[in-house]
Amino acid sequence: MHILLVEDEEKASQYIKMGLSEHGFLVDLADNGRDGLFMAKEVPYDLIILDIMLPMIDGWTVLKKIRIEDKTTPILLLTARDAVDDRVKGLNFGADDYLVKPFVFSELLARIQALLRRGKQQQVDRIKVSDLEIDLVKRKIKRHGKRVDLSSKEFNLLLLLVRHQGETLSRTYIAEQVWDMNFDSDSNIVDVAIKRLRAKIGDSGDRKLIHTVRGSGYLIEEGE
Amino acid sequence: MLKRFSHFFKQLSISARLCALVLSGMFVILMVISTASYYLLNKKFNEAASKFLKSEIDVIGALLKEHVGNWDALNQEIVWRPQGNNYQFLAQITLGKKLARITPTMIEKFRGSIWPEISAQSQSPYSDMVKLYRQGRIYQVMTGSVTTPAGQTFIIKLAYDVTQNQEILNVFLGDLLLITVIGILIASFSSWFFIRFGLSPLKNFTAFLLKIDPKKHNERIDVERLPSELKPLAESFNKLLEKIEKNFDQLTTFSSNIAHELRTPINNLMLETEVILKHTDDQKKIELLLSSSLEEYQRLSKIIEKLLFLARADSDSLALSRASLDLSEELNKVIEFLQAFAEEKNMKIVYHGSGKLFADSTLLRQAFSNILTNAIKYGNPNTDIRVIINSDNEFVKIHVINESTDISDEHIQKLSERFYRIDAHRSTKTGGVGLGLSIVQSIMKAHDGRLEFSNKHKGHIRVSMIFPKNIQSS
Repeated sequence: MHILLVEDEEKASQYIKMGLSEHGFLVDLADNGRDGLFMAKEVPYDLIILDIMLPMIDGWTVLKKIRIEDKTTPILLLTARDAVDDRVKGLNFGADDYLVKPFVFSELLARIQALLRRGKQQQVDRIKVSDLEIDLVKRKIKRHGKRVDLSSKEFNLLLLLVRHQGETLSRTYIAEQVWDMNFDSDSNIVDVAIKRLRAKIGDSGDRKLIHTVRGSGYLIEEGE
Repeated sequence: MLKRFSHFFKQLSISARLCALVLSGMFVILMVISTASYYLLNKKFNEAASKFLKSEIDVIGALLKEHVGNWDALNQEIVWRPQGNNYQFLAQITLGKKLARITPTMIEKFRGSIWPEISAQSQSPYSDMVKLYRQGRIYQVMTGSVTTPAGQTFIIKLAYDVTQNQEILNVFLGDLLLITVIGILIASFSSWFFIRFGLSPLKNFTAFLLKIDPKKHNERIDVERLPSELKPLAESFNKLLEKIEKNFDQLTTFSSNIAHELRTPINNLMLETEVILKHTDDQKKIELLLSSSLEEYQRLSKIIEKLLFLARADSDSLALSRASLDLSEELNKVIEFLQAFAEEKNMKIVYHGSGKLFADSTLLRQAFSNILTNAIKYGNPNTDIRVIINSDNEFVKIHVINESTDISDEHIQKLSERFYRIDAHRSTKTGGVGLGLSIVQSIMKAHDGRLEFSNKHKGHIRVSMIFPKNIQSS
C-alpha cells in the first residue's frame, strides 16, 4: 500500500512514516502544499494524508485541486484545529475522514485501515473470532455456541471492534463510530460501555478477546 | 465653513462651550434692550417735536383768525417768540403766493428746501412731520393751514431745531454700546467663574477616574456625593469596575488553575521518565511506564483542546453549522451513549416533552452529554435523572433535574466557572478537568442562549438550557 503524507512538521512526519512503515505501508513525504499536489497528481497513491496548515499552498486548496481530477483516492485530513466547522468543511470539500491533532498513532492507523478497506469489503454474513460468532444478517451473536443478547448499540460496538480486528481503536473513534458523538467526551463513558459488553459476552480470564491498550484504547485479538 | 465651525465647536471644552453660549445669549439680550431703548427714546423725541409743531400751528392759526390785520402779536410769536428760542423755532406764513410773515433767518436757512404738503384727502390741518438737515443742524418741519373767517387761507411752514435731541440720542447710543461691552465683559468673567464652579463635580469625577489604579479593582466612585446628572455615569462606571474586578479575579484563578492542571500530568511524566531511565533493561516495565505516560499526554492534550474550544468561543469564532433538530431524537442518541454509564450507578435517564431547535447538532449533543455526565457522576445512585423539554413562544427550555446532595447557593452560581469544583481538591475518582459546564456555557452563548442552575427544591439540582425561540427555523 502506497501512502502520500503531506505534512510540514518534520518530526511528526518522520514518526508517522516510521509507524506506518512498521505496519507495511510505503510512505512518501511532501513538506509543502505545492510538492504534495504535484506528487498526488503524478503517483497513483492508495491513500493521501493531508495536513491543513501547509506552506506554499494550504491543505484546503490542495484538497480541492486533487478532487478536480481524482475523485476516488481516499484523503484523510490532519489539522491542529478542533473546530466542528473544519470537519464539515473538509468533508464537503471531498475529504474522506478527518483527524484532529494531537492524535495517537493507533487512531491514525485505525482510520487509515478503515478507509483502505472501505468499498473493498466483501459482503459477509458471518464473522468468527475465536469462539465468538457474529451473524450480520440477523444481528445475533454466539459465544461458545451460546446465544448472547445485546442491545443494538452493544452489537454495533462489538462489530466495530471485530471489523478492526487486531487494530487498537481509541475511545474517541469508538464514540464517533458507534454513537455518532463527534466530540471529546468523558473517557469513562466508553470504558463503562466496554466493561458491560465484556460482561455480556463473558469475556474474561485467559480467553479474553477484548483487550485494553493503555493510553490508546481497545482492540479485539484472538488469544495466543 | 459652517461644517468647519461646528467641528471646531465640538472640540471645545464644556466650559468654553457654555461660556460661548452664555455670552452669545447675553449679547443678544443686551442688543435687544439697547435697540429698544434707543428706538423708544427717539420716538418720544419725535412725538414731543410733533406735538410742539402742531400746537405752534394752532397758536399761529388762532392769532391769524382773531387778530386779522394785527401783525404785532404775530410778529411777536414768529419773529421774537419764543424768546431765546429763535434758533430753535422758525416760521413762514404765506397767503396764496404772497409771503405774509417770516422769521428773518429762515429764508437763508431753508433756501431750496421742500416742505411736506398737507394731504388733500385728510381733514387734518397738519402735514406729516419731516426731518431736514440744514447747515449742520437738524430740523423737524411741518406744514399747517388755517382759514380765517374772512375766507383767507394761510399756509404756515414751521421748522423746529432738534439738533440737541439728536445729540442726546447720540450720547445715549454711545452709553448703550459701552454698557453692552461692559455687560459682556462682566458676563464673561462671571460665567467663566460660575461654569467652572458648576462643573467642579465633573472635574473631581475625572480626577478620580484618573487616579484609579489598574491594579486595584476594588475602588468605587462614591455615588451619593455626586450631582444627579453624573450619578448614572458613576453607577455604570462602578458596574464596569465590578465586572472588571470579577473578570480579573476569574482570570487570575483561571490561570493558576491551568497551571495546576498542567503541573499534575507533567509531574507524573517527569517521574515516569526518570523511572524508565533507571530500568532500561526491563522491557515489560518500560512498556508499562510508557503507556502510562501516553495516558498523561492524552490528559494534557484534552485539557488543551478544551481550553482552545473555550478560547474560540470567547472570541466568538465558534462557527456553527446549524440545522433544524428534533430534540427528542438528539436526546435519545445521547441517552443511548450514556446508558451504560448511568446503569453503573443504577440510574436511569427519562425525558418528557419534545421540541425542535435550530442548532449545531454536534455542539448540542456535547452540551447534553456534558450536563448528563455530570448528573450521573454527582447524582445520588439509584435515582432517575429527569429531562424536561419545555417549548413556549419565546424559549425552548431543556431542564435536567437530578437528585443529589445539597449544593449551597455559593457553589451553585459558580458551577459553570472554569476549573470550578465543589470539592476543592481534584477528585481522581470522578475524573474530568472541571471544564464540562464551562463548555456547555460557551455552547449556549454561541446559540444566544443561557445556562441556569437552581437548587430551590431540596435535594434536587436543576440545570436549565434556555434557547431563544427565534433561532428556530421552519
